[in-house]
Amino acid sequence: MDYLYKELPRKDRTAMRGHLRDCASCRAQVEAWRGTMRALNQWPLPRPRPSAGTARVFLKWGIAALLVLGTGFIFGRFSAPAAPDLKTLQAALEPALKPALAADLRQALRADLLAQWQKVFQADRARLAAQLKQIQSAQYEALDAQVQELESQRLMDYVDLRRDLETLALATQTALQRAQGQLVQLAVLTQPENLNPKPSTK
Amino acid sequence: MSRSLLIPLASALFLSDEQAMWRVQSQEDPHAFARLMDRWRKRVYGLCARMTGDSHRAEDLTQETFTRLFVHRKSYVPTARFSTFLWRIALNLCYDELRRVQRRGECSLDDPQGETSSLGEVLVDPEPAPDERLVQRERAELVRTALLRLSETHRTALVLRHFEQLKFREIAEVLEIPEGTVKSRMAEAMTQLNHHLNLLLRKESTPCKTILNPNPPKVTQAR
Repeated sequence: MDYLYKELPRKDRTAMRGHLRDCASCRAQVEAWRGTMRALNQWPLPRPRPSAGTARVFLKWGIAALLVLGTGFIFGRFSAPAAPDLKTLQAALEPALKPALAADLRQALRADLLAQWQKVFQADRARLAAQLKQIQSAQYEALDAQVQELESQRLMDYVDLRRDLETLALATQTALQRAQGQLVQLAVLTQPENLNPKPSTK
Repeated sequence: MSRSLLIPLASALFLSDEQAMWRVQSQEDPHAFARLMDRWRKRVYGLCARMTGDSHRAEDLTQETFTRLFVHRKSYVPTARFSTFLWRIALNLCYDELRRVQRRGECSLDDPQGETSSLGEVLVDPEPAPDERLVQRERAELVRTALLRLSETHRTALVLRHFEQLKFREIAEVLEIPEGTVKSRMAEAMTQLNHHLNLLLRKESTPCKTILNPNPPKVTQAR
């Protein structure tokens, strides 16, 4: 039996094996018992129904956890310090808080105003720049027109002057030529007498 | 609060059976008892089912075993092995049940057609095909019938050794008999079982009769 159920020490087991090799009747007996053991293994055990006890244990744990939590909650509720009177708190805090709040408010207002002003200023500046640009361009245009007018005037004056000058030059040339002719004529007319003057007249 | 949570947790995780039983005995600790039930329920059920051959009775007997364990908690000696104490309670309940059945003249234990009898009805393995399942059921029924034809002393030795896998030394301790006697009973039980199995295989139908030992042995202590 020890051999069959592996309770025999190793040494005895080896000896037993040796004996079984030699002894046919013992071998037959062991084989028969082994067959019985195999037959026994063919009776599997049905599973027991899930234990009600287990469910009860879980339930108990659940209730215990609930109780602990509940107790903790109630303890917390009652052991918490009483809520302070709101008016007293307000009165106590007001003097300290008011200047700080006012300063904060002022600062916020200032920042707000500054931002607003900057916004307006930017817009104005942009608008003025645009106007300035417009005016400048208009002025440039007017100036251009004037310059062009002056230039054309100057050209016309120049042309007039030149024509006058040319007319004068021609007139002068004509007059000079006439004078030259007259001089020549005069010279021709006066030359023989003028060159041999009479000594008796002296 | 943490202490109240940690103690049951630790007890559930690290307690040996003997420590748990000591807690049950001295403090009536429900967690320790639940732990013992979790650990031992299946094995006790196995013993009862093999001894009575009836799964429904086995469930009742298992519950009864744990009830009795709690009732008799004071008679547990903390130096003794808990398993021995528990096996004795379960075995005594099985013997009582078998005697009661015998007194009533019921034959359901040995009757495959009995109303609640067949473990075979319940031991359906979900996997195999129907014909395979039928063969398995027939084999199981055969073994069950043959086992129930053994005397209680022989059946006890065989169930404790083969199914519950107690060592011969432990069985001797539970039954309070010499280890040699356990082994000789075991050998006898195996031989008889082999004989009954051969008989049953030869003739398929068995007449309804209870083959119970009229005087079942009594295990002392823990009654």
